[in-house]
Amino acid sequence: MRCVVLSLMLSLAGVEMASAQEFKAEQIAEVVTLKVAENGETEEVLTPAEMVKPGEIVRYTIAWENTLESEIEDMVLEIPLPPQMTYRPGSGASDGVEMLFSANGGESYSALSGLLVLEEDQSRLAEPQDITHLKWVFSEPLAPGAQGELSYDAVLK
Amino acid sequence: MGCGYTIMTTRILKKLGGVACLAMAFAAYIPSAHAQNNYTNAGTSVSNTFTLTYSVGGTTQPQIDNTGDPTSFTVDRLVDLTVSYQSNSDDDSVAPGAQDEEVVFLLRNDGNDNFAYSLTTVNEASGDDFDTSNLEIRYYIDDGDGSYEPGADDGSAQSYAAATDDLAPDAILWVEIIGDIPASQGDTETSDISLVADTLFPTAWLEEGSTGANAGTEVTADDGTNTVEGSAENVLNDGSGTSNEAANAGDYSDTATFTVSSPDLAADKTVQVIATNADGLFDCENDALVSANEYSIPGSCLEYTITVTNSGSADATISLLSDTLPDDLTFQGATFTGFTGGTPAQPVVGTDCDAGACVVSQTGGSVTAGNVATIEIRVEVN
Repeated sequence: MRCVVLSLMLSLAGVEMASAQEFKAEQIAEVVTLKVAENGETEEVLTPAEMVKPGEIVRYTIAWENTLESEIEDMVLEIPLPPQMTYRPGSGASDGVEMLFSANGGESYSALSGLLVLEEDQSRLAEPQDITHLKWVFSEPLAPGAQGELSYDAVLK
Repeated sequence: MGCGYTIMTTRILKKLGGVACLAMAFAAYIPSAHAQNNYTNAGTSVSNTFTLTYSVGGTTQPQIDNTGDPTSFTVDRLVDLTVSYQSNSDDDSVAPGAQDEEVVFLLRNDGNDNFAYSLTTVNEASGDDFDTSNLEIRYYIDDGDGSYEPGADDGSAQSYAAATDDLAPDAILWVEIIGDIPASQGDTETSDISLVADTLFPTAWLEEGSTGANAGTEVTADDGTNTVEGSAENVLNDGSGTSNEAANAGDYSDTATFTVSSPDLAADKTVQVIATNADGLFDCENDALVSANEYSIPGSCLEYTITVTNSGSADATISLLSDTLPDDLTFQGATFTGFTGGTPAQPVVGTDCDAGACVVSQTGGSVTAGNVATIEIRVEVN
């Protein structure tokens, strides 16, 4: 499984620490294939996304770990969707996290049910292909040592 | 704030600053005459980044992101195509012996990269009455409107030899198969001809450049072992149009039908006053039309003209053509023109036509393709 990982060394000015520590986060992409199991139920099979066909579903998973000795607060995760991907409705929900959407390049965000798009002087409800950015706002602080992850799906055009 | 509008669930959308904003970051859809597939080009690298912002102890920390090494994958190369017989685009009703008759097919690239195609004709062996002979292929490059416009907006005919030009995703070629109809075929007999198109390497991919020596060779499926990192793998996604080819093989086909049609025969009858003949001196059997202003009185000379037109492209055989003249006329002669063979018949000059005594007929013979035959009958009004 080929994972693409970047951890940036944190600038810790303003936080008193005995030694350099990191807040790590990484993102991986997997292709979701729906298969019918022997018992007749539909199940999802995940494979690393290296080659993807138009129309396939890609699941992005972002995982984080608070390796600091302090709580992490006001965490906000923001994702600009690649222009070749369409958000798959219903994905991305996470307990205790508010998920917001933008249809204007990240200038403003709202809940999906209230997301409007201006088209030829008329506003209409946004459709999945209008969504340009995703944002998750974490209301609970992240304790030291805590880990978490969330996933969302997008479809390759 | 470039766009200048606020989005809230309970507020009316306001447009501030006179600038309208559309959802951005997705390619604009250009309307076209047919549904576009809008697939992402093969070989495209799709990169996804994230940004994580947070604070510690009330102080905002530098953000974390993966913009230095985003999550990426490469888009596969989908091979898919449509071949479809266009029965409305040309007249596939043909005459026996006709040459250079055409059937038209649509060939469309339904994949996500440039491809070229090989074209093969198949004279179906069963299910039809005859084979069309001397089959040839030519094609026209659609100008983007999805309408078959040969010699007009779609340009002049391209001759085909081994491979077509490169075709972009969603682009269309109009492929004509031309052939000759054997002369011995009869009305309603059919000939089925199939066109099979197979996907070839183009001269250049959209994203990955020249195909070099591979141009014009058949595209085959990649099994996941290609060693060039990031280069698109070929996936054959086609169905099967006829039993001439299988699904997931990079090819597709459809079948056209020529139908032989019979000759088109029409007959009509007109009458004209040749001479008023007030002085009784006119020779109704032999003399020509006096003027356009003659009128009919007892003794006038009239001419009936029966015209038989064969507007079909096959000879029309006559079994019996006959006309019984009305009462109150005296027969003065009949002239037959344009019939090939057969036996004309007419009464003796001077026969009184009462009670159906005057019958003029043509038995047998034919009116050849595209020809007109006439019977001109002279009578005198009693």
